[in-house]
Amino acid sequence: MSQHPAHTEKEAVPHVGGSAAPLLAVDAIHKRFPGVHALKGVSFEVHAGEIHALVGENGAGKSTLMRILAGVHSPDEGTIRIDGTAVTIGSPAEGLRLGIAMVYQDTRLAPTLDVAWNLALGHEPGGAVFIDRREMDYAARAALAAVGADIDPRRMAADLSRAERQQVEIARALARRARVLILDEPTSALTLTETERLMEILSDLRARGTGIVFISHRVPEVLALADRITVLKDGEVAGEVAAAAATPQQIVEMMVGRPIGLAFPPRAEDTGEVAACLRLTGDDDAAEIVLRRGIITGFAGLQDAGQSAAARALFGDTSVAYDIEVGDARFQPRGPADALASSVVYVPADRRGEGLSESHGIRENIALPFVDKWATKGVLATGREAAEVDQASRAIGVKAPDWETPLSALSGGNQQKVVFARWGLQTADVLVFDEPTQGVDVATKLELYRLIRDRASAGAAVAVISSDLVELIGLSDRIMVFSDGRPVREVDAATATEAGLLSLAVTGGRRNESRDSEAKGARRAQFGRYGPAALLLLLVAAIFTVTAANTDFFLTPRNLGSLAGQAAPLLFAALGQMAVILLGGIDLTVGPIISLVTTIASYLLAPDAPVPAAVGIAACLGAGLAVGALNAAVIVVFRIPDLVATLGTFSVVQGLALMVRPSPGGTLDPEIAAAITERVSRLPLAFIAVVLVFLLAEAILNRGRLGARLYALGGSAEAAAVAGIRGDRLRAMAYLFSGFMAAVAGLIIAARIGSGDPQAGSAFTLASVTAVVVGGTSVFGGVGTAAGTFLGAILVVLIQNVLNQFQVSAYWQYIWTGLLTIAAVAGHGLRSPDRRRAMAARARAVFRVTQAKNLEGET
Amino acid sequence: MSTTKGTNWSRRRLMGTGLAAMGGLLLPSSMLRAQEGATLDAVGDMMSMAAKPGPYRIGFSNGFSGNSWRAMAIAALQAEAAATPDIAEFVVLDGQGDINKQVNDIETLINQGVDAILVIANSGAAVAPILRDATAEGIVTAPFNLPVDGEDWSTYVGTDPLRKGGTLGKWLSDALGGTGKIVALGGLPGNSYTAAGWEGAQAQFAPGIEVLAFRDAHWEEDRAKVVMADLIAAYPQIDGVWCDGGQVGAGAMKALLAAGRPLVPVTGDDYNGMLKLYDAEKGNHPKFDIGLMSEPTWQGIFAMRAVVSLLKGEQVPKRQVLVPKMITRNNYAQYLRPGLPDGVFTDTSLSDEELAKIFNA
Amino acid sequence: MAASRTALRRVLAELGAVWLAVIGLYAIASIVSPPMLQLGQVFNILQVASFLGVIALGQFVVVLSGGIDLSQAGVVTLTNIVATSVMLGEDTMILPAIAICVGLALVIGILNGAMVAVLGITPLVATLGMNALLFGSALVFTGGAPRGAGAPALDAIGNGTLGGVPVATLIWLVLAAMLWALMRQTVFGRWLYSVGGNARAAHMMGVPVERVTITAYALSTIMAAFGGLLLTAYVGNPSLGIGNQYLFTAVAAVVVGGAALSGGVGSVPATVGGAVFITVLGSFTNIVRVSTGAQFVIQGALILASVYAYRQFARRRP
Repeated sequence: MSQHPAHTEKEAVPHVGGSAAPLLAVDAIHKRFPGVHALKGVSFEVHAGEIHALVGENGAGKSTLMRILAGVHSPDEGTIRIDGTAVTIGSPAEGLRLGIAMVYQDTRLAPTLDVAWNLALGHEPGGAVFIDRREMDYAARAALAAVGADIDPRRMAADLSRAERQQVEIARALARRARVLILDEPTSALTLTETERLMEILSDLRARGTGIVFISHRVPEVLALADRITVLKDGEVAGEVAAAAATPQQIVEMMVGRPIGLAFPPRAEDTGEVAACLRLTGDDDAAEIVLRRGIITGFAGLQDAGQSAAARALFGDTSVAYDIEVGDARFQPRGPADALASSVVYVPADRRGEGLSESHGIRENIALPFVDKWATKGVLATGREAAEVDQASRAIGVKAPDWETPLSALSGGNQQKVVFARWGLQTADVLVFDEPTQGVDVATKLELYRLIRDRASAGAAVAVISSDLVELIGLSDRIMVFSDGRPVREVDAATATEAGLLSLAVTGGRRNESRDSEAKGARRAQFGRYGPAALLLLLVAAIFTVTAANTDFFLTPRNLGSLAGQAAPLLFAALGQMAVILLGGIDLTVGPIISLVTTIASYLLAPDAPVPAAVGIAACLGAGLAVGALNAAVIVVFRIPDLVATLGTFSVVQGLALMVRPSPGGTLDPEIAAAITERVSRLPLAFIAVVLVFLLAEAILNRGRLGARLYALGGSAEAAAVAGIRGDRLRAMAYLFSGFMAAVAGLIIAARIGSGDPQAGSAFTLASVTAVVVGGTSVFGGVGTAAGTFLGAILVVLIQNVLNQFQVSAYWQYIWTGLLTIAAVAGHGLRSPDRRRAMAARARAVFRVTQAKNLEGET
Repeated sequence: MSTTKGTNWSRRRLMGTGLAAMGGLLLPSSMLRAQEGATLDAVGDMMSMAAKPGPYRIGFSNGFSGNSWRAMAIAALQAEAAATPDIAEFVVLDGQGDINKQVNDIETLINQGVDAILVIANSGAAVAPILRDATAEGIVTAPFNLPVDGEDWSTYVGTDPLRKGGTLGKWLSDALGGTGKIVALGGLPGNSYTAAGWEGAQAQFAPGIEVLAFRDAHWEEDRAKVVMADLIAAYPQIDGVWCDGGQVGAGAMKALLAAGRPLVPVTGDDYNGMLKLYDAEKGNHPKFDIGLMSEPTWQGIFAMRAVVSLLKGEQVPKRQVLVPKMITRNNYAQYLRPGLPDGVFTDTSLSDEELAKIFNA
Repeated sequence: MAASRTALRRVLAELGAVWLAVIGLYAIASIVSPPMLQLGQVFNILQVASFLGVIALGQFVVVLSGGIDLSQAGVVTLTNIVATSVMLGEDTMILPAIAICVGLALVIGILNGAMVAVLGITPLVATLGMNALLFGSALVFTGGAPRGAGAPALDAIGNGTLGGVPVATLIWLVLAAMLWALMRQTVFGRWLYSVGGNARAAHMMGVPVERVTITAYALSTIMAAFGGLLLTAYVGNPSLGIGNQYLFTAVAAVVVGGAALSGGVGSVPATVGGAVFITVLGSFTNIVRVSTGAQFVIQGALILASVYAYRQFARRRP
């Protein structure tokens, strides 16, 4: 490797040797997993004001060591010392308390919380229940400024770029006063300027006395930044060197354990014919992207400068419009299928999200794009499949016991080899690799470079997108520089320099009004929170108006009072259900709990009850909590998925209700029943109570500590764990809450029916789920509002009442209920233009016929 | 008082009967013949209230629909409402089998200011409080078919499931000569009708009757057939089957047939499918016997008439208990309707034409 | 050696640990009630299991795609109602009745699939709404009083046996074999697994995700229609409540069979085992002399226990 990146000046920080204890030290750590001895007596230390790089091949034990330091795993043997004192790090939260913060490769931010929340999560300013939003925003701005990040604290984490997410994570670590900052492959997703910015921040932190552990596969970067370098190999320390004295060659050979050539494969000698040509539609200034056979064209640019968009245009993505020619003919792919049929392949950067199915084996993953081509009349050619997969995997050198091994069992580098093996089966005319070496170790990287070059030599036109300019310059023949979404200039890679490319990337384009769009994004996030609720409010209002205008008895105080009374139990039950669904779960026991509570009430709240009313009510609520605890145990302790678990407990609780009271009967003490169904003028107290509970719930969700924890856990379990949220406990609490709320609903029902009935709650399970989902809560968790759930439940009850008011026949009521429910949920999908576009695209996809481009076609 | 012969009733003839019955209502504790065989016992005090000017708006909260018995009961009520000049509007709401929705429905009817509410309760306990509220507001409330707990309603018409179950139990016990092993199949889990009926039946069994199992069969042939298939496998000897519904009895017998077992004495109601099955199989199975007791689909008419009487200021008994006649091997042919679907309940006020219309809908 | 172990592992994974649970439960049931061991009772249970089994096959396809289909109950009911009212006890009308029912199921399935794949509605709610709609349609169609009857010739299918084995069971197994071939031997099957495993990745590799999803929902309702037809043949009569019991039991059968509700994982033979397990469980609780309530408790607890055991087993396997 000839060129070093022009990173920040390395300061010569002398080690604080001997006398002062290291900030963090691990001593002779062992860690064993079933079948693997991952760490074999590793010792490692980092001092204050030091950047200590940790390098090694995939599987060398870096990740295990880091997880031990972060409190995810505990070591089998060995000690961890902080300031010379031995400590045990039992959980990420404890690690944070001890001053150790991790910044993960795939950042751990809660996607559905905004930046300020993410920064403060677990340590929000404010009171016991509610946070101080102003203080939180202020602190967020300060924390972001400290790392030089210019990010609006109100933006949703999901809307941030990877670089921005990483900046937020570092800002968070610093805001928590982390003394040791561990960064896992921090630059793998960053563009050059962003990398440079990160280096500056890290140097600054070092100067301020933070101990930094830096894990990277990019050897030049490590040499430029670190003070010391520890090389891990096969779970042992292969050596520790001072960075100033080391050479790249030396480091790599320590990592690999043998001498190795570090050169890129030689460049192409001839330029081949044009295989594809892209021109940005309607932009005459933009450079034409020409992909030639036999040539590797690198796409360079800052983060999101349009490199991937150009590549994806070849795969039918129309978010940036390109006029494309493949061969001599115009090419308008409407999706990956069209592109593949025309021998155009795009290998996405997000391997796990877009490239692979981790639950499936190597064979299935490799063969997927070809199974239909190999098949005869839709029947798989299993023999050919096995042979092709075997040959391709061997040729690439995929390491696995057999080709049925699921991808989840493979390392990142090996997974990428599977992807390469897959596309080795297609003699593509055009091949685009998006960040092909991300998260891949050095030895594998070199193999991948060779494979990419081989494809070009074999006659394919290859494009490579990489944020590692050293890699890009070394690997490519030509480099197309992108700036502000447009291709601006193509340069010869042989003469290109990082500085030159960077200057083109920064100055080559026009500045867009990015500030504006950012502000719009923030506004959309706020509107987005109450969008579903607003939509429902319109629907409810419309139903109110139409019904009031056309029926006689709807808009009477009396009927409205009844409506409120009818809605109260469902509202309680739906709020509990929502807490669970917010975490991505579901509670099917809501209905049976209501039934069970009425049966218990019919004994313990009877006029001649053996216990005082307070005890009876406590027992009813306790029953709800007990079922919640049962659900929590099955889900949290026994790890059975929520839907399956509560499908089982549904039956159990329904059975208990039938055992308590095999058939309806008993009497509730009329005084107690009257107290529960008490009304203030026409308005039931229970309804007033539930409205207050919802107001509180919405406040807690929007501004409370607990709310943020629910969103964080529902949005991403890892993010929650990193923020020190005890996911299992919170999940258990959600089920307890749901059980409790169902029990409250059960008491109201018991009071309304004045007796016990083992089927009283049968309709509530599905009604509560419907109310929550209609209210805009995502069943995947992390998104939803109490306001939406409130209106969802109101809508469910309202539909019933209105159909009665219109005297719709019993039979048609089912149909209307089904239609209105579907319409209300479908409405959410039509809310934003983005969603409407996606929907239209899906609709077109249904009718699309895949067509290979006719290469001999029109000229 | 009039009686009619045969089973091919026209509505006019029923109305004649009904009018006679109404006349009879003025005489306390009289025994009325509502249809051939069936009697209507007035029980308890006479009720009356201040007359209201007509015509009246009457609501009907039906606990659920979705079987032919309910469809026939609604049709009978609608026909009666149409033929009664005093009734201006007849509103039917459906509880969809949900106890809670039915309470909401009744609340809606109260809010709509109806003069009277007829109810077939999903749960006799659950609708009691809301009916009490309605009655307190001066609305005439008339549960029928299934009893409602307490006394806080105006008037009740229907069978007595405890007594009915007991009668069927006694018949089965007798049919087996006082000894034998039986199984019992009921309706929906946790419903009070089956519970009361089974309680009545158990009290009537001779000491020699051994109950092998009681199972819920949802008042559906398919469920009964599946449950019975399991019981057949578990118990080598089953001498009789107690059911409170004809569909369940028919399903149970079909399971015996499918298993190649002989058919045995069975109870049930006036479900045409059961009658047809008996007619077809009685020759092949010497032990096959039926003890059925109808659950008349026309009982709502008497509830409706009682309600109108009350509104007019006339006196009406608090309870009118229907005692249907037993249908056995001796008289089943009278009830059998070979040309009509299995789902018809043959003790009906509806003509064949009307039935055909309902079942063709 | 390694290859043969791999092959064995594949066979075991395909069959599913659920069959061990089936055998265990059946053994316990036989101790409680020795007649369970008679061949007749085995066939009896397989006969009863065939309805749930066929319906669960359809549910399996949808679960594999990462969805759930709660409209199957409505399809079963509608099929029963429509089939009996078309046949009216006439053998000549059997084929038209089947054609109409399957056609109807196809339309319903495509609508379900379109709601999920195109409109992006959560499957749980979309199919639940459809279920209400279908039940309502059955009520409107019959006016609450279903008419008609199954054709006499259908009795041979519903109650007949072939060499001692119930015909319904044979039909179930033939359908399962066909579906198994579809899943494992065809491009569609491979696509379906890939969509359930990672829909986005499948799309990037040219798999027509939307069409695969819609086809999955169509297969689900068509299987539900077959199940409804078998039930109709078994019972011979229309019943508006006939489908209700399959609202959740079909899902339970698929889950007990070891399929992941997140999609992409599961097999047809294991789903067959799941349906047998749920049916044996029902028979078991029927013959143990316990109250209805206790019956529910036992069923729920055993479903949980079997899923837990299955997951432990699957985790421990190398």
